[in-house]
Amino acid sequence: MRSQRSIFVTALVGLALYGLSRHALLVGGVDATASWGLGLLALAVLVAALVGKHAWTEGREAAPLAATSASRLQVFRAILACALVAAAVLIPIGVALLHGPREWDGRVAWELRATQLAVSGFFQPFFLDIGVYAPAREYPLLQPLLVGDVARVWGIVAARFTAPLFFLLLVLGLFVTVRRVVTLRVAALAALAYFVLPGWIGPGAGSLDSGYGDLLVALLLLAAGVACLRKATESGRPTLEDLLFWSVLVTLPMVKPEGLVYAYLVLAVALRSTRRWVFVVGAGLCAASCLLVLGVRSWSLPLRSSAYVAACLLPACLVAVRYALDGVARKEQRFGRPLRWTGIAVLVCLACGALWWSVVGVSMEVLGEASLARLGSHIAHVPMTALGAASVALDLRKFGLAWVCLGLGVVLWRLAPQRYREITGLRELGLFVAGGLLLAFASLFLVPETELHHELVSRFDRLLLQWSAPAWLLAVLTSFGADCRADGCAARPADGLSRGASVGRRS
Amino acid sequence: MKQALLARGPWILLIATLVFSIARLPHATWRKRLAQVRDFEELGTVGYHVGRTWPGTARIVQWLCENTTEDAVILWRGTWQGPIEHVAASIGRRLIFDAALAAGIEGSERQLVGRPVARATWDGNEGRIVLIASRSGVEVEVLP
Repeated sequence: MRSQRSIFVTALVGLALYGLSRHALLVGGVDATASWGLGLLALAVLVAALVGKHAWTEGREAAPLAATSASRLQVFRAILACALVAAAVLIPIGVALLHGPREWDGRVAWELRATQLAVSGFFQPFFLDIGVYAPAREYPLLQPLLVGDVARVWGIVAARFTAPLFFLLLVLGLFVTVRRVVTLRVAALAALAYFVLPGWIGPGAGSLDSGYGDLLVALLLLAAGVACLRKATESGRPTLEDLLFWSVLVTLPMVKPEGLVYAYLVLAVALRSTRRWVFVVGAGLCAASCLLVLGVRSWSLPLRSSAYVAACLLPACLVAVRYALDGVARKEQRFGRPLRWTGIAVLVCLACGALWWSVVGVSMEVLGEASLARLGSHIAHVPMTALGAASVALDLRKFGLAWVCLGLGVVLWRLAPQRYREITGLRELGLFVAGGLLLAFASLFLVPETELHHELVSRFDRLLLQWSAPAWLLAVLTSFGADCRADGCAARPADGLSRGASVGRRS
Repeated sequence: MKQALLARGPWILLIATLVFSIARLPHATWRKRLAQVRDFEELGTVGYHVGRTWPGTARIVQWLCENTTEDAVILWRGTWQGPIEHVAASIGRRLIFDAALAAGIEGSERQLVGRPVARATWDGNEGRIVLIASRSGVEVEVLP
């Protein structure tokens, strides 16, 4: 279990280090040639393994909350069944990957840029000259850089297989996280159910072989969700969740434009639950990542200097809010409650203003005044838009019953929150998922009304697909995590399949 | 009764999700995907992405690949969304350059970004090739 967690964390931290170094080099005018970029990736993963070593040593003490009594034969059968399903899913996807992306953006927005990077590097007219037609020029470059670096060494066909690897990593991360709370059987079934989620393995936009960037975003959102489940510690060392928290803050702005907003959400949710120094480092890393993304973009698009200020403003505001919250908590006797909350409300308002400025200035220039005006005119159509969004979420062909599972899990959790007290950070995870879904829904109000249907079926469904990963984590924890104790799962009448499994060996 | 139903609910939903998704494997993951792959193999990359919706544009892409050098810069103007996106992805190392911007660059009749500007004969007219992009397809114009 520990080694599986290690793989998940090492990969995430390695990806963040690779993104940081690759972007920093590009900002400095240095491009990777031949196998240089891939070497950088290997080095990043190695450094990640060394950096995280002591965090994993700390994690060694944390045994799963839920015990299991599966026999070797049962485990073998389960592994065999999983392998068969994996083969049934991955073989056709592998065949499709040999032929290239068949979806629009997968080809023109993602693979085209990766191919250009692989063939001629970044410092060429395709990326640098504003007159050259380059689709998705304003999109961040981490995924094309990674795919391009792999393609340089092993060819574009091999590079396409990074997507299934990310997906396997995602499912592994989901499994090892839920396994710490629920029984092995539930964890395996939950991971398997997510592995066969139609949205990922079907043939449409956003799926494993479509070439889109949504899968990487989903992986990072899951990592952010895992980071939410941190335990309170007084230790001065960073924990495994802290490493994930920092990695996500670095990587999200480098993947897709909405990644920046998600990174801010991760920061906002962690405002109270992390140790202050961990939060400040995270905010600094997030700002640094935004500055690097802007630095790379400034090679091809003219940027105002205010954009750089905007990139740092929201993390700085959130750090100020954190200091204010800590400060007033200490001086509560001297300052009255009203003054305390007025000050915090002012800072939060400032942070909201900074959020809008950052999002428009750094990530999504298209959201200008027109979008704000549209927002006002759309308010009257909230019920209709909500119905449309709900119909997309309940599309069985894309999400199965995933969102229904989440709904039931949340109801069970809210009916008896005291039964979940052993799962630390569940509230933060719930806030994170709720905030993300709210943001995805709010994005529907920024498009013209005439394009609403198109948005719902071509973009909103992919936003939901991104959020399905942390949402599924929350769904499993809330549905099956009740009454878990450090000495094993309490007998649960509902858990018919795991009844009697409370005193077995730990795995 | 209500409590038992609530408690068994997660199991029922989890199993139902799993069974539903696995039941869709033969149709969605295998049949639909492999049908797409078969079409892709039959039509080729350009035929699949461009030819099925804009057959005229697919012919133009093929003509560009046959009649311009591999490092050529091809001028364009019009709508930036639509088939022109696939044209950019279908012409190999060739680049597409904004004709309006090119007009303000000295010597752009022959060279842009250090590469030759595409010249060819189209409908009997010889000159610089300009792609006119719209949502419904791409057309060719020749500048002297």
